[in-house]
Amino acid sequence: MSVRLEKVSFAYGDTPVCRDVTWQLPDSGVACLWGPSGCGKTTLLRLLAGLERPDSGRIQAPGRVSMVFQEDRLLPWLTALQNVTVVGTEEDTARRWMLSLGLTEGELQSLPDALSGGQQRRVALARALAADSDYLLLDEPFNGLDEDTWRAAIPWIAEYAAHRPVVLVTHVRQQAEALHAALIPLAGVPVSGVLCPAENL
Amino acid sequence: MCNKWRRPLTAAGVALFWLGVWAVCSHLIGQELLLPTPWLVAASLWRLMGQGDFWIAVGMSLLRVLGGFAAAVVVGVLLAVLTTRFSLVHTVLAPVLHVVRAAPVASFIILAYVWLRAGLLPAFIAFLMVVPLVWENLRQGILHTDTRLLEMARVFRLGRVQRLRYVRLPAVRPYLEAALTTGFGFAWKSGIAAEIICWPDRSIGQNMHNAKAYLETPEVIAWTVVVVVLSVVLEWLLRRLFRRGEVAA
Repeated sequence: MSVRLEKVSFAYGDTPVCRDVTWQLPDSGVACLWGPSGCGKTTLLRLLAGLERPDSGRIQAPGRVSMVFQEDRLLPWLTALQNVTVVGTEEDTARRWMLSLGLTEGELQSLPDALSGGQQRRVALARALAADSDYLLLDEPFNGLDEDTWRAAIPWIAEYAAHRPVVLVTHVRQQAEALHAALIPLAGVPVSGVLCPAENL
Repeated sequence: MCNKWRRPLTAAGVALFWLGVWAVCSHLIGQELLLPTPWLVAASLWRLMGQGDFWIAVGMSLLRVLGGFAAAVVVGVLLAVLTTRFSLVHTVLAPVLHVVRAAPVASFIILAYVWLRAGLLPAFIAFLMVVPLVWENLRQGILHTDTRLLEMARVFRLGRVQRLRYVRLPAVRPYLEAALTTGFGFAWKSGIAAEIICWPDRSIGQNMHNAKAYLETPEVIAWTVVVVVLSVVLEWLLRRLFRRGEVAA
């Protein structure tokens, strides 16, 4: 069973964001929602994460989701390492992921407030990648990371995407290209109809 | 070395200064009944502390106030959870909160004296003072818990217990601590006030009332010193307890 939106409509108050949206995620690979800000990308991710209920239509999302939010959303009272293990990841696994993303052992034991913005972002990425999950949602995951750092994270996401679906939201073309993402153009709200990858953008 | 001693020395200096002011004032007035000298009060306190009844009264007063305080914390937490969960409960109970907060303590003491035995009254008054404080503070804490963190916990499927332990409790902790430390001071002072009005047996308030009746001003002040010292010591203990908890968590 794959992840799928079926004729989903959704509105924030009086503002319709989705109208009869149908979208089937491929079983693997990265799909990149592409469009100007305010075009419903984050809302689509929230629907897929189960954080919003559609007003009508059906969301089929089998298995467990993992996510990098637009903000880091780290628990300020836990160390970086605990922030990754708190979602159910074994400590060894968590440590391995965090070190591979370029964090040091000292940073693992620090509270989020003591880390730089880029380091906090890496903790959030590690939490999402290390968590046992069936699909991954990335909302501007490389925000605040310099190019060298996000490029270093690409192989890990690509590895995840080799056999599970990943949805990426980004404004940076190179990030989508580096992940060989299928670009799904969104023109603006309300998003409507069947979403499918653009042939050439 | 110099810095280490600076604060205690300053504090001692300030204390000495005010004791001096007190001594000078009482000498100028020259009437033990109106304002006894500090040493008369100290002597009176020393004499009281030598009596078994003193310690029983202090212990019983503490027990009553702590009992009311503990019950208030339990009820306050329950009310905070219920009123944030169900808005109807909040609509119904909110006026009670406002009434209890706005009405003077003394009127509750007199009113409750009609219903309750004198021995239960201080506990009840302490309870009444602390419930709104815990309730309202914790309610604010719950309402101000970062929804983004709660969403994160939902997406990553943290269980009920884990959500409580790692998201909810740490988020409301500062609110609860503030409520408990200020609440304890409230409970203690209003509990003693209730004792002074309704004189339960074996209590600080009854002793203060008797001392006043016999025009023993040094003894009234000595008892007041006891109340103040206990208030400071217990609040300090409470704060230490929280700090210990923080390290453990």
